[in-house]
Amino acid sequence: MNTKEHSNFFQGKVFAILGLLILLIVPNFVDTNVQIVFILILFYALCASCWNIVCGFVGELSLGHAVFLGVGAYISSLLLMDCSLSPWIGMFIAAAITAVFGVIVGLPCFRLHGPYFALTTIALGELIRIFVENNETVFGINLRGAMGLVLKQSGNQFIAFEFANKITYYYVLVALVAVTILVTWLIKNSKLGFYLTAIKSDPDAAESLGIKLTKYKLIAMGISCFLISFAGTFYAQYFRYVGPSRIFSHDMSVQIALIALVGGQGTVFGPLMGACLLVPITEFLSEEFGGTLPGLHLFIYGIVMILVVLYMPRGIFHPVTKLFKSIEAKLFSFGKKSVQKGEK
Amino acid sequence: MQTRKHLRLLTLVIVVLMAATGCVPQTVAPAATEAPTQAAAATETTTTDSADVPVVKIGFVWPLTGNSATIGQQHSDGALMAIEEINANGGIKSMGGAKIEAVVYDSETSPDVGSSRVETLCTKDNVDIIVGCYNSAVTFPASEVAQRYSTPFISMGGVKNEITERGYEWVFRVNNKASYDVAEMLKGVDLCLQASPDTAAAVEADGGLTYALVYESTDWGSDNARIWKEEADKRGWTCVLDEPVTSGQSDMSAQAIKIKKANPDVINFSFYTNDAIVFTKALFANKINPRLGVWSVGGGSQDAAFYKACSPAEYEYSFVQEDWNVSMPYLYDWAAKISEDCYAKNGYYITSFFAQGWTAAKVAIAAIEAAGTNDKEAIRQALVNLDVKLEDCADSHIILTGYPEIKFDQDGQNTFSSGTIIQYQNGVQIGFSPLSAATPGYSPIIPIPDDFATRGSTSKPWGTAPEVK
Repeated sequence: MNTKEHSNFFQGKVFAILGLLILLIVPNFVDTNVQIVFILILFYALCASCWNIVCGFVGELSLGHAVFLGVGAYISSLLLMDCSLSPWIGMFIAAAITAVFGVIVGLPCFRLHGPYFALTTIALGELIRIFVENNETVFGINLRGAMGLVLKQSGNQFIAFEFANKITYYYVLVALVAVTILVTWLIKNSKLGFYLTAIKSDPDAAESLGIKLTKYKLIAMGISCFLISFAGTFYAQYFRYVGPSRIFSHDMSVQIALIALVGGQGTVFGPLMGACLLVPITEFLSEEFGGTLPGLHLFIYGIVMILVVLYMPRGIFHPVTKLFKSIEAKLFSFGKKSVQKGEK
Repeated sequence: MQTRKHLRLLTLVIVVLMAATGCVPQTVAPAATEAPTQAAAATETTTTDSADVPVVKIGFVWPLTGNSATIGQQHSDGALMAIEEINANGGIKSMGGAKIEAVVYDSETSPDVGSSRVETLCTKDNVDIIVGCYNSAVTFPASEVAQRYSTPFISMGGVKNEITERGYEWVFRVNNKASYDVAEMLKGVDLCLQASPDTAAAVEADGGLTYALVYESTDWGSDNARIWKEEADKRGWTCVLDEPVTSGQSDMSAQAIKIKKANPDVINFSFYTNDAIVFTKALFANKINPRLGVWSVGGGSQDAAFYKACSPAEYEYSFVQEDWNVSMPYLYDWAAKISEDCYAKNGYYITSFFAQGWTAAKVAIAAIEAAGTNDKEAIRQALVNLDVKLEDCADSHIILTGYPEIKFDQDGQNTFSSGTIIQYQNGVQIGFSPLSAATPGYSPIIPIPDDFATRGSTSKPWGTAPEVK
């Protein structure tokens, strides 16, 4: 690879690479408290990226995606608690079951569009939450009802997905987010991605061209649920408690959707960008104002959301990328000229 | 285009206004000698007069937004006023007058947020002890974080039994656990039957006592219902309705109709403020009048906001398991003084939540005072050895909740924690169980009169002290 190829590869990506390097390296050198924020950024980035696979590409607004997060968390936790199965294995079993569950749920839901689809997903979320809250056992499986699942401390054993330091949790999330983003990128650049884009643009036209709408939507749903189940397992292992009132909550679903929408739905890195913007704002405001001026942090958070929706309705991904590219062009224009002069 | 410009201008103004508001800490008042700090340090409520005076940090996590916001705010008010009192009186004496700095966070009534905030207290703020988090669902995982960071954690508010049944040596609970709450209520029902032999005979003649359980389907509500059922079964009582309800209801007529159909002798409900209001109004609107009354395990029925939203007629004759001795302001001058100060500062007289926040903070301070250092292991050991009696609190004002004593067992549970069963009579809280908290000259009104037409017409405003008979 010669110098020209190098410059072409990095052109327009300097800030993106810098950002990814920050996410990779900086958490090693910061306090535990800041590491916690980085963990939350990647956790919500992971959830939002999974949401993006089905909703960003297909164009339907799911406001019940926390259900799949919760199903993943419950299955892997129950496998650990009742069958002593390591979460490293349990997370894959949970992912497979969640994917199947997602497809089954998707079958009737994808017959609906627009607000009807959104309302159905809200109803689904509430249905599952209320069901779990009010049932101690289902088919002999002890769900523990509203009490939720409590994961006992194992003494920081790797096999039990419990670590002594935050940085290990963080790098587990880095791996999960990297896989999810890679899958999103592969989908976007594959036949499936083109089909989904066509479905999003004009479902009738896509169908007339022979694209099976339900089939491809369900494939996207299955992949999304499979991946978000990993986030559920991570949530359970990280917080050591899975309560139905939170994990299946409407709040959680909306939070996931908003991060993806603010970041830029239908883009590969948009959800990550949305999480990088919104999660630190939430954490900072909550820590600074949560104790003294209750509710103010939520109010300011709302204002930020309104501003983003007003001025960047397609999300921050495109404007921010454009901005960074223009800065990059200005910063590196001198170097470029000197190379060109040298070549002469 | 013009509209867009105006919109931009408007949003800019809002952001500037919000930023300006955020720069003025309003809620937390530091000690008299202290100056307000910038918003950036607003959560850290107190500073010291000079750099030489050591500082002790206590972290608090309360639900200041979300379903339990009004309850969490009262806990916070109590804790901060307790700290103010200590700081104004020379701080921690065994540490050379060390000042106490309160670091307050909002759990948003969410388990993961609460856990994260406890983690922040342990890692960023390096607090010496943590108090929180009211909701059982939040306290449960949050206390586990404190255990992991070997930081003393005083649970206040959360009643879930298991909070102190996990073998965690860093977790202590000052207040009742769910099984204590239920035991108090059942004892209260027994006292009612003793007070009215005719009613007891009528219940017996009808085949024994029947009850209905209506509760929010969270772990708090479910736990309370489960324990009530277990204990009631032992007494041979019959459950005629077991009705979990999703929180956030705007109407509970359906539940009221079910109750009317079941016709129980006792209704036991557990809801936070908003649902408690809706439920109480639904019962009154449907003229539901069980002969042994409507019993609340506390929650929303102890919240001052509940009594602003409900008319006296709606809560007249109802029984509430208050998590403190409601007679404290009448029994002790120092408690009456705190109640007056609370009214002057917060606009309400002491509530159960205020008293609990106050007591938890005072217990934390007492442990630090006994330890004489901010070494966490020493504070934990001081909590293990702590033994405070109510009669010795004339100067220290520790047990505002009125527990006869605070002493933790091997699980970290205060085995002396107790509440009061009260009944609203003419709009006034009348304590009748246990006898130590009973309002002199009163007994429970049983059976509940069928006086819906006139009920509450002569009731006094909520918070009025009972006339001593």
